[in-house]
Amino acid sequence: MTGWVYWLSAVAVMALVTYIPRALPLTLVRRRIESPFLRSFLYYMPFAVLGAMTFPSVLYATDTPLSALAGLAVALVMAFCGRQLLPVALASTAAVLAVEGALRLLHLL
Amino acid sequence: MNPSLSRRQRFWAGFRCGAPVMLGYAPVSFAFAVSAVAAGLPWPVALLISLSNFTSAGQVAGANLMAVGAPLPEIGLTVFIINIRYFLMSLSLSQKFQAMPMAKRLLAANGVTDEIFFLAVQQPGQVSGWFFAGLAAGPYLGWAGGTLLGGLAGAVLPHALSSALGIALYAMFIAIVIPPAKKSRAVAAVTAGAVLLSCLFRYLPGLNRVPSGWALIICAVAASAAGALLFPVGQEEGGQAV
Repeated sequence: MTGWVYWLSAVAVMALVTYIPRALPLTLVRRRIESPFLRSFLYYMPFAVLGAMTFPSVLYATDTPLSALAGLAVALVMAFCGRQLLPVALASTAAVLAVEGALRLLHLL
Repeated sequence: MNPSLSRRQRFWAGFRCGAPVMLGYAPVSFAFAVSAVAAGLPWPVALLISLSNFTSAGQVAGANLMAVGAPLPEIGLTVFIINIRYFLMSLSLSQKFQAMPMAKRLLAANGVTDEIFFLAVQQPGQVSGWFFAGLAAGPYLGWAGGTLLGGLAGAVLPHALSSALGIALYAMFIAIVIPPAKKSRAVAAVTAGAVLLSCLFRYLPGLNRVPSGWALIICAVAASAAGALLFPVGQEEGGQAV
């Protein structure tokens, strides 16, 4: 079952289940949370989410973990040196391209 | 809210803050559109997904399921599980929107992505609706524009480039997390704990059967709760509102 009716309904379903978790807490929680534990929890949560989202998935984001490791290393070093988001993303992508290019030349990929 | 700033000033302050993410999103949504079209979706459908979902992992998984004609409940459940993290993000963000009326909150919810959320909660003090609108506008345009270009031109893009672009989003995550982790050992410890848990959920037999959306929630909640117990954060957190 494919075709425009299917596609449009699927997009609507996806939009709905993406909007609900975004909107519910924003509309239901209107007061300042006072509990020191909860405030600390919410303070740390963004770092924990991004950390868990990045590892180990980053190793599988390209054609081979080898090139992903190269891109990861470049991103870590540049981020440690305080570079902005875009230069880090571009340099990391370039590192992946370089490593995969080399691997293709050597017929290893 | 800082009364000395006009709406327009707040919007553009937010826009400048989000501009790097706009440029970072474009290649990622480009890659999304390339793979969606390659999988058999018409490019307008890919664009419609980006415009109405505005999320990375969820819409990639959803588009892959659509391409094989999966039943709607399966698509809905999969995408929902991947998006459960937004509950946590919006809960955290609600503390930055204290003065915001309900209608603006319903609109702002559309802009809660991993990166926009992070930039918003890192602002000192409260965040106004206009600042948040500016913050989300650039990344939204980048996401939509990248999808359009990828859908139209994707067929001519070499595979090597789309593979390399796969790392761009993760590199951005790293660039976002490292500077605060350098400043605070507690933040570094919580992040490292979440990374360790996430690796356990990927590689340990049994644990690796947990759907990835749930695994992410468990890792994030466990690491942040441990952080909150071990290193409670003080009440300070003042700062100029934007």
